[in-house]
Amino acid sequence: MDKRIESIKDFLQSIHNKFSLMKFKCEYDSINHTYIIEVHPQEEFTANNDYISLESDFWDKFENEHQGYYLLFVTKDSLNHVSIPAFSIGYEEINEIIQPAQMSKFEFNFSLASEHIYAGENNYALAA
Amino acid sequence: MSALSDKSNLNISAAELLYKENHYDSVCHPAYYACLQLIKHTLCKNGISLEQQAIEASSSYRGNTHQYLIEKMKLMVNNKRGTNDGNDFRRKIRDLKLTREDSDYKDIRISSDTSRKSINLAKELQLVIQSV
Repeated sequence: MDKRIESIKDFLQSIHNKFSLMKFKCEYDSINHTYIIEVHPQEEFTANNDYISLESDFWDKFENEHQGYYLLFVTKDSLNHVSIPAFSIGYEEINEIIQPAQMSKFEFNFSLASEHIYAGENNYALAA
Repeated sequence: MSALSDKSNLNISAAELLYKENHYDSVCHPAYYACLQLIKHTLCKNGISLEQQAIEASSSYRGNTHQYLIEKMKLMVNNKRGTNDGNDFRRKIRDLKLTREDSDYKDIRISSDTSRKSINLAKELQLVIQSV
C-alpha cells in the first residue's frame, strides 16, 4: 500500500512542481482497489496537453507495475469524487480540500434507512 | 447492425426507462454495459473476433475482460482521433465503470443526478466508439 501511495504522491508532486496551479486529492477505494485522484483546476485537467500525456504514461506504468490495482483521474464534472483524501498535493489547508460548495451536493433520502448514502456524493457527511 | 450493437442501444433505452421510473440504482449498470457491448462490436468490425478478444484478454490482462476492452479501445481511439481523445475516453469510461461497480456492489444509493450523468456519459462514449 505504502509503495503504491508513495508512487502516486511522487508523480503528483512532480506535476505540481511543473504546473504550480494544479492541485490533487487522492483517496483509496478499498472495495474496488482503485486510487481516485481528483485534479484541480478542471481547465488544466481537460486542456493541458503536457499534463494529459504525463498522466496517461503514469496511469499505464502504475497499472502495469501494480496488477490488480487501478487509478482513476477525475475532476469537478466527473461522476466520482474524492471525499476523504488520504493525502493532497498543492492544498494548503483542510478547509480548502473540502469545499463548502461540495457539501451542498449531498442528497440524502430520508425515506430510506439512514445508513444508505449516495454514491459519489456520500462521504462528505462522514468527514464532517 | 450486429446483435451486440443492437443490444448496446437497447441498454441505453433501458437505462432511460429506469431513470424515468426513478429506479436510479439500476441505471448505471445498463449504461456502462451499453459501452462495453459497443466496444466488443467495434473490435469485431475491426477484425478482432469475439474468440480472439477472449484469448487476448486472457493472455494480456489475466482474464480481466473489461480492462482489456477499455485499453484496446483507447489505443484505437488514439490511432483514429489522437491521443488526447484516447486519454479522455479512458478517463470517462473508467469513471462510468467505477460508478457501475458502486451501484452494483456497495451499500449505497445512487442519486438522480448521478444516474442522469451516467446515461449522458454513456451516450457520449457511444459516439466516440462509433467513430472508430
